[in-house]
Amino acid sequence: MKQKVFLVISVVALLFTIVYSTAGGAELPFYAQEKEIENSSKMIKSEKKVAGHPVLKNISSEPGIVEVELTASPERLSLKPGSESNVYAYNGTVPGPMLEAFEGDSIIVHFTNNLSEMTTVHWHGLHLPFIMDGSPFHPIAAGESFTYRFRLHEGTAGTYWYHPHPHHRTAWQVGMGLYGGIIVRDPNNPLPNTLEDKLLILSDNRFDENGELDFAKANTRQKQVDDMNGREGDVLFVNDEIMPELSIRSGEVQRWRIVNASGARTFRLGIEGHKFTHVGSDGGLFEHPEVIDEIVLANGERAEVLVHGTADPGSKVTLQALPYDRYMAMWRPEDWDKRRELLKLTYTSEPSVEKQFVVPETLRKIPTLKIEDATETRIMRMSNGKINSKIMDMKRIDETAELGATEIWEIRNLVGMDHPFHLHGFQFQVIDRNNVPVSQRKWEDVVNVPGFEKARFIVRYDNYKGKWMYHCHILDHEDQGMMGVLEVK
Amino acid sequence: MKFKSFITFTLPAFATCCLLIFTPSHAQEASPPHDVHNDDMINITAIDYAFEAPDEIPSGWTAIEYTNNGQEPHMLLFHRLPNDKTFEDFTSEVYPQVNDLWLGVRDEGLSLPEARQKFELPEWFNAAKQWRGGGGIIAPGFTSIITLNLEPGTYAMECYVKTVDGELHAMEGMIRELKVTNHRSDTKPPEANIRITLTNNKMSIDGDLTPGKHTIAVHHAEGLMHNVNVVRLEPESSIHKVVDWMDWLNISGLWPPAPASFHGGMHILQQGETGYFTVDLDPGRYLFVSEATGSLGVLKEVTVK
Repeated sequence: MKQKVFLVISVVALLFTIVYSTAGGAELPFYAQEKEIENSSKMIKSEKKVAGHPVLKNISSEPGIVEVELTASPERLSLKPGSESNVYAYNGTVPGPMLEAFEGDSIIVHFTNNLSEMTTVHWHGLHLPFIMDGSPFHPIAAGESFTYRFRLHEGTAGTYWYHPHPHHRTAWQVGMGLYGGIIVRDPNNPLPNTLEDKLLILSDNRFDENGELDFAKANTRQKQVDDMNGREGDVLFVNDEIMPELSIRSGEVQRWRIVNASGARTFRLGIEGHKFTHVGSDGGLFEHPEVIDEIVLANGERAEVLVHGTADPGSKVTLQALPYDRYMAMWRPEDWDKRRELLKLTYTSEPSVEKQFVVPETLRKIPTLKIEDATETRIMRMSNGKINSKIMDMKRIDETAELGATEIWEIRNLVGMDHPFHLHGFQFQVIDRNNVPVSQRKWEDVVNVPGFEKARFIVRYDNYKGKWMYHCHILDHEDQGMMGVLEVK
Repeated sequence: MKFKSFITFTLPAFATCCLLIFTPSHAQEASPPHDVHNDDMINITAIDYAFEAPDEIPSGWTAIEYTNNGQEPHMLLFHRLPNDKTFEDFTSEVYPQVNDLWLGVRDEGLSLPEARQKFELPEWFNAAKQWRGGGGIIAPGFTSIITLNLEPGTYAMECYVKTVDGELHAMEGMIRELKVTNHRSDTKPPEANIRITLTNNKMSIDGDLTPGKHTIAVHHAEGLMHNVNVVRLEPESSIHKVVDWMDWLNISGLWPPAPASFHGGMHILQQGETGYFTVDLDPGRYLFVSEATGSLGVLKEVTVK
């Protein structure tokens, strides 16, 4: 009898959960009530490490289903040696554990908000239903839970990330430590699975003299600078470490997946005496690899590169953040041109690998979005803090499009600093920059537009209706309202 | 004495906003692909807070359709930069000082002389001062055709109206480079039906200001930094308040809300130069006023019947 009652309760609870999550039952008042929440110690942690990261533990035994538990909570952690800081963390770590799955997998994330404020989890770059996007339209109040459910589409293998996206609070919550990586794998990986796979989540932060995370106070010059440039920190992190060490064997080739999870800092990356083979961007592998000396990653962008161990056994080199001028001259930091070290790459003493890996000339076929199919060109004029002279209004629809339509977006940056433009829900292909066609088709969800320049991309609104955000991915700008809403009907 | 102190304090301070930069020609060759306009008419659109404008235009007479598509009043001032200076020099060496000067007044309560002493502008800027006209303050939704004779060189365009938070629009991004090439346009100056002459203590207006659209020639005949702004006066409007509001270093100067509606005009020209602007007038009272020298009498109240 007890078993029967339990079964009935379980079924009702399950049905309620499904109805609640699919019907948008998690839509809560825009500004949730703040309340103090006790830190949860019941998070599921995984000891498994992939690409150098702890991985969210799959609690499902069903093939094709990745079911995980994720909790955001306040923690006290040591982010830099010698001090502890009050942070926000996913499952107790900064960055949060990695979500790993294959194309075609169904993802179920049981998320609990143990913060004292509302939050969301935005699955940056993934193509999924609107209600699962974790945009500001679907806040999760303090103490509440929500189950995110979505399927990873075929052709989307790549490197993504997750982070909060509550309106006006994203820079704060990401700055406090809420971000984590996602790897979507291709069952028919065109690159050998034997390549050492590393996920490098780059971030920066600022600390006060007591070791606490430092955010500018209102009505200060620093606040003005942060509002304009976005908040940058002088302490650079690769994953959870400052200047970590990776090893490579001479002649070896490693696959590095790099995420720029900083709120504002653009990373221009290089290793002295080394070239990269750039093989992928936001939405996965390119059609053709490109050999480059350095790579620029704006906020939110990802890159996949092959690192060739071309130095001698026993050598040591560093991955550097090279100077990158993304600022208006009036607001440019004094130390903007300083080279910063990110990571030590140490060559083992083993003799060079004898059989060198040859990078395939073709990695995959990327479908062409044809310009002649475009039914609309949307022009986005970006000034500091506004798009098309408007500040974000959650009650306003800025752009409307038909489901299935192909369109061109022209992003015009009218001011003297870079703005990385991000569209939710749909990967796009950049067509040209300043009227010059790009070298090849790539799937992207962030396009960085330097000051006074412009870029055009083409996008098709497949599968999902909804209200999709577009915004500057400098998180302070996004919070100021440099964001709009595209409704796909 | 009043005139002298004006020159000593107000004018040099005002000049901090009126910056010049000039760029060597090789800098032009090194720049990325531009939007180049060879049309008779170019468009410059003001939004909050940026200019949408071509990167490069031909030299000679240029007609500019100047529109405010923002939600706040804006102006457009062209500075021609000295030959050995770049737009980067203008924005990195001069504008932070201009901003500090303003913040000294706003946040530290400094008097103008104190602020000027504390925040020194680069020598090259003080020596240059080559403002080359532009659009007067214009309210959202208004358009004016401005016609200027621009020599080849590198120009900076800026708006130094303030945000509701008291920040200069230029500091928020409303500052942009414009290259004027050696290629000369075929544009001719328009036929004006109204002529304004600016001298150090007087604004003369010749012609009938009737309802409708007018093309106004503005001639800068003497000395100081004069410009023209067309202000619609309502019954409750105070000319004194308008003149005070137009002084950017007054604590409330150029800081919204504006005390009246601004319909455009002609920004500061070099002495001896003439520029043109259009304005559409409804019946009513207007003030034609110079921003920096209105307090010296360079203004005129007119009634359009």
